[in-house]
Amino acid sequence: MKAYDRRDFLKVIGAAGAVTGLGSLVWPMEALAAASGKVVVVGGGFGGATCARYLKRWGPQLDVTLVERDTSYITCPFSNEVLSGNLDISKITHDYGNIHAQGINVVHDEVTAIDAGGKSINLKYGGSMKFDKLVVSPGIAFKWGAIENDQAAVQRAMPHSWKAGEQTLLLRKQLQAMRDGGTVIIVPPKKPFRCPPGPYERASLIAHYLKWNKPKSKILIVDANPTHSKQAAFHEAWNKEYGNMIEWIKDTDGGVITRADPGNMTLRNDFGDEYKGDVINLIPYQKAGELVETAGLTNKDGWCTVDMGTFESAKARDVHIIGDACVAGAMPKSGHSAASQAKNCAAAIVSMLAGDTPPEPTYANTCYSLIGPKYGISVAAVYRLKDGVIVKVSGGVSKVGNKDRVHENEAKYARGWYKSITSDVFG
Amino acid sequence: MSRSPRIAISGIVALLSGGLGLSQSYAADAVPRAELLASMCITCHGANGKGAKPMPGINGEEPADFIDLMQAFANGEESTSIMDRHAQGYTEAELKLLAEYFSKQ
Repeated sequence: MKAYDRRDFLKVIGAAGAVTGLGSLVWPMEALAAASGKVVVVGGGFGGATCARYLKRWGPQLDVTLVERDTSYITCPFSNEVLSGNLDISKITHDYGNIHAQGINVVHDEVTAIDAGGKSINLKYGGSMKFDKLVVSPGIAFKWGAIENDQAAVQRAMPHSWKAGEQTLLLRKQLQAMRDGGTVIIVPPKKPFRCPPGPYERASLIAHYLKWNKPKSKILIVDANPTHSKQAAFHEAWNKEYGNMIEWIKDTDGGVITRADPGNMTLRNDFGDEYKGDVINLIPYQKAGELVETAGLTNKDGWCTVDMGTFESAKARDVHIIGDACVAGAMPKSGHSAASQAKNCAAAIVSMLAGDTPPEPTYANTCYSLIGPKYGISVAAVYRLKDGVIVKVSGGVSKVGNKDRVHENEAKYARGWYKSITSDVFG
Repeated sequence: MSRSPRIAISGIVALLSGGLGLSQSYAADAVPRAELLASMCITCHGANGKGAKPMPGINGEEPADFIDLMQAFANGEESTSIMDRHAQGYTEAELKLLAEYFSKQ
């Protein structure tokens, strides 16, 4: 129990004590039992939408508002299946109808400023909005300029497709238009970035498309990092399913791209070597979403430092930051992590507004990657708070040498995971 | 994060309120730990743990069976593609909380 909670509590107890014998004890008791107040959640992705729903679940008397710019949300999970042609984009598009039906005010507007001291936010169209507690789940923004010409290059010539939607469809069209025998280049950003296994799942599912449609083609992953997520499981799967179609080039082998030339579809690395691609997927370096940066809530690396138990910002009281934007110890930047953080954040806020101590945090992540429609691998972990830092207490990656049956099951579970988590997040 | 100050205060209030029986009304946590723990399972196993195919339901089990299966996943006696990696992350006391919670769903 923090000092200020205890003080507030004693104030209430004082009031209760003063009226003892007058039969008015019921009011302060109820005030302690139920959280009340106005909580505004900004950002309707895995973090924000989950947080809004669990705030309402655990604090039914709370006034909860979700502010989200768009009227629908296209998930990054499973967008690689849209790229490879296995799924239509409508299958990964969700609206906010069920969240609204749960008694949460859903406001489609853009937040232009956060006034943490004045406990209000400014909206582009809707004036300002007051809060007792603010949760921000802004996702990522791109660190333009980390690779020369990156911002211009990704517009059309070398789409990033790292925020699902138009960019996903653009890359899909380019893959469809490519000749057989062409080269696809994927450029993962330097860590940390959203969805650590994402670029490698993408390579796998593009390989699946090429294997059946343009089998003479190649995929190069030109990587600024020395290692990558689920590395052994991916490499085993690539050999098994796609022979030598996918080649991974790590940082010290020439993987660090420093310049993009969208005009002639080339990339240059830090040795001065050039790679020429028919289709290039340039995924920019990343930082926390613009909103938290503008509000002065980011650290020198561009991410948000928070109390890893309550997700309250280190820079602004009563402002909580969850999801990809925050620094969350050992947790990867995934949709599942964001949803897990959202639940801990919601539990902390409901407890704080009720004058209670938050429950001991518990976090989990489960992340499946598809190699093909019938081949899945996973990483899973459980985390705890130790000395203020989120640490992993169990977990790991699918084993190398698993039977085909396990890979098939993991592909089935990947689809089950998607159905289940999106219904937990969006209702 | 100790709970003891609050328990002590509630004792005082119980005394002050002189047998009105009101101390009971705030004995409950605003968000019980079991709720938060269970919410981690619900992400994959569906609302109230009732399953989301092909993820099996985990509701309505005898608590002893629930704990036994989770411990068998954790120590490798029961084969699983992923539940060993989750089960190893929880203490026996936490498994009990989860088992009780989901047995009532």
